[in-house]
Amino acid sequence: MDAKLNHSDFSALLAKQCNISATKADNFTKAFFDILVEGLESDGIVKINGLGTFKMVDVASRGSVNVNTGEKIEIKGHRKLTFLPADTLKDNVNQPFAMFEPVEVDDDYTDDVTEEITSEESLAPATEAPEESPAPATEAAEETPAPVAEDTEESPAPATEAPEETPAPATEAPEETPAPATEGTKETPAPVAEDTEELPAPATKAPEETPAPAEKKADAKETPAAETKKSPVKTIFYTLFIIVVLSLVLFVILRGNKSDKEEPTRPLVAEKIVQQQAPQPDTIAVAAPPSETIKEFILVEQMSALPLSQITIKDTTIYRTAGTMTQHRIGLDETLTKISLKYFNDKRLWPYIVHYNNIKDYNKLEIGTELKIPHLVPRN
Amino acid sequence: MNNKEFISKLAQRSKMSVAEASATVEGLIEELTDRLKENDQINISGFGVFEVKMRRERISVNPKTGQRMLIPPKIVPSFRPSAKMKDKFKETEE
Repeated sequence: MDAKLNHSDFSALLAKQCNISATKADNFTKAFFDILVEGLESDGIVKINGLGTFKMVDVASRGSVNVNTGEKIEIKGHRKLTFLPADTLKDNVNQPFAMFEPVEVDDDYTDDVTEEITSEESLAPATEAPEESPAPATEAAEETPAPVAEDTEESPAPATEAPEETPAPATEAPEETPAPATEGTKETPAPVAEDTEELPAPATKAPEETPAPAEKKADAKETPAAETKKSPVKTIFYTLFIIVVLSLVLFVILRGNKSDKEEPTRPLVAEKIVQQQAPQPDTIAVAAPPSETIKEFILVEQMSALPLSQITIKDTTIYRTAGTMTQHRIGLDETLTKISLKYFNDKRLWPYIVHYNNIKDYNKLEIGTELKIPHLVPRN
Repeated sequence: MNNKEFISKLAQRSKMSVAEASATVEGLIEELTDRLKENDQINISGFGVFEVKMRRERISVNPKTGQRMLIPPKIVPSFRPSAKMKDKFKETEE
């Protein structure tokens, strides 16, 4: 290994190899190279099978520069001894690297690799973000109904107290001030109704609802104007009914936020409420305009509530793994996102694969690696 | 000078039969190859040095087609003539 052999060393080895005496081997190698030189002198070329070709090559004179002085010098043409190894010798020597073969490479081969790495790195924070985002989203969703519920819970209290009380809250409605002069009982429900209707509006902060109370105010103003002495009992009943409906709607929204399975039932409930309400106004002519506003309000509530619940459900990437679904062998040009898209229909769920397979460095995955694809079950 | 001429001359010089000389040459080449495989350097004084060199992998471009090929690394046998030999043949030229 890495030994430097001289003439005599080599002769000794040859003697061993060919089972001849050392002196004979020594003489033989001497003769071998002497004849080689003689052949080169006479013919300029010597071919030895299994070793190669020794050849004299003419080198043309060429100009050069003296590196020290910068002076131009001319290298004279001369003859040079070259050695061209035979194929058998080349193959034997190159045995350690014999399995390699020239491979055609694309122009953008190296670029592709780096791009893939960067794309996966860029994906990593992208996937982290949705996992974090649902948390505040759900918090927000839970928070928003809370004040609404508080408001409604507070609102019934004054509503019940209102009929007995004298028109103290009537100061809010300047148009109704003439009314208390005639009948105190009739006005009290009017401001209560306004209060309850106005309360949810700021709670949900929906701009579409702002015209609704305005209309309602107009309606409310008209209704007492139209039938002054007809039905104070009916209006009381009506306001109570509105409060019940609102609390029902809020209750349903609250429940809907908690689980996606209950979501489809919610719109049905809302429709039922509307339907329940519909026959009643038929009997009473006055009740028709408020029922419409309620219907509108319910729709608005639904509209504002639906996206929230849907967002939280859709963006939820919280799953638990329930056993192995299948095995997957990583192929060429495959990334974890592609595998995730294939099995979960969502490219952002690849961290589950990483976690499930205990992959340490997800940027360095080898082709042919067997991956266990977990069965994902949404976590409630 | 081809192989046949070389061996006949060698047989004459070493007082061997042609067959014997041929077998010995084969043995010599075999030994040389084995030594080169082992990464050894064989220095024949007055003639030159037989050694192996490592060639790194490289990308070569076909100038006609623009095709890029990755040439794998390889080990090549090489012969470095001695200074004595160099001078000898330089002189014969002039």
